[in-house]
Amino acid sequence: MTTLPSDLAADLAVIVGTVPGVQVLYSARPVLLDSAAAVVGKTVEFLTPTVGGTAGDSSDAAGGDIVLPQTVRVESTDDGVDVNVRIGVSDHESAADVCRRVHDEISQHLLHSGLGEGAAITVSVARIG
Amino acid sequence: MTFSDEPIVPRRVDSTEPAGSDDLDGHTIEELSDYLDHNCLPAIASIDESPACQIALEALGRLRTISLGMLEAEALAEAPRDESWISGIINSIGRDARAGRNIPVHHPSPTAHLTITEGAVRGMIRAAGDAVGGVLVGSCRLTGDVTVPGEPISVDVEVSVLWGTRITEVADSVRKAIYTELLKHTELTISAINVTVHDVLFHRAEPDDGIELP
Repeated sequence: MTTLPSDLAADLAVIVGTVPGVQVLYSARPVLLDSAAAVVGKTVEFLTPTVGGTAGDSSDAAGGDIVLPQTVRVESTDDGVDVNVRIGVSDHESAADVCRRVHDEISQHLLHSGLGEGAAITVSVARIG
Repeated sequence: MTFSDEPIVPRRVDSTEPAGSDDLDGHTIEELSDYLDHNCLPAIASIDESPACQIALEALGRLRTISLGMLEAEALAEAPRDESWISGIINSIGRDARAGRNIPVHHPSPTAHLTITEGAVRGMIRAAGDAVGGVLVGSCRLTGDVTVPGEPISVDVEVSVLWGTRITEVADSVRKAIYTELLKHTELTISAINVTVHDVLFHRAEPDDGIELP
């Protein structure tokens, strides 16, 4: 299991937000972290939009609480790092191209952070225009 | 023309997406319509931060703008009737804005999972159609397995057009506008774009037009 930098999600949110064509970074879907996740020691890091880069409190996970929607979800798994983002894109640029750009920027950052090996990156365009 | 306060009866539902009151990230299309009525105030974060709700709100806004100048054709020939056509469109907006299926975007990395939601594409199609003069998109459907790259997909769009427009020309304009946007934003293999004119609408007459409306 990879240990994640505490500011990774915040850094990625900034990076994604500056990719040309990205209009908005949507909250990751609310995630119910049940006790099973805590048992397997899953490390889940969130960026809280209103806090501006402060990672979510993982103690919530152990308590089985519903974590409020966050913008970038970064998770450490047995295979490496799992990053999940949802974006809205401008109509002026190809949504598919913007989607790839976002992936590549995230991938680059993970590589520079020494986390690129096996990183799974999910980018979903949820709105165009 | 006003939006009906009557309960909206769900129309046909795409079997690929379950219907429910919380289809739009926990909100109903009626709630969004009310939210728009109040100029989106006070702000509701769960609406403002939901792409599905934002897609629906944009479509509702266009519907209101366009419908201000339109009057259903039958209204001229019949007694005032319910505004089921507009409630039908509102219903379709709610259905089409849902995230739906994930449409893949190609990337050479095996660990990349890139997608565009079906709701985003339908919202884009609706906006492209509404942008054609004299057209109001009623419903939009992607037929075929959009989750499989290269699978032929057909787009079925129902529209209302203003009386006096050349229907074949307008339908062709809608088809071209939609195709252009689909080519630009997605990697879908489009086999057909079927445009069905569902209603013909009259311009709402001004008082000095000399036409008495119901």
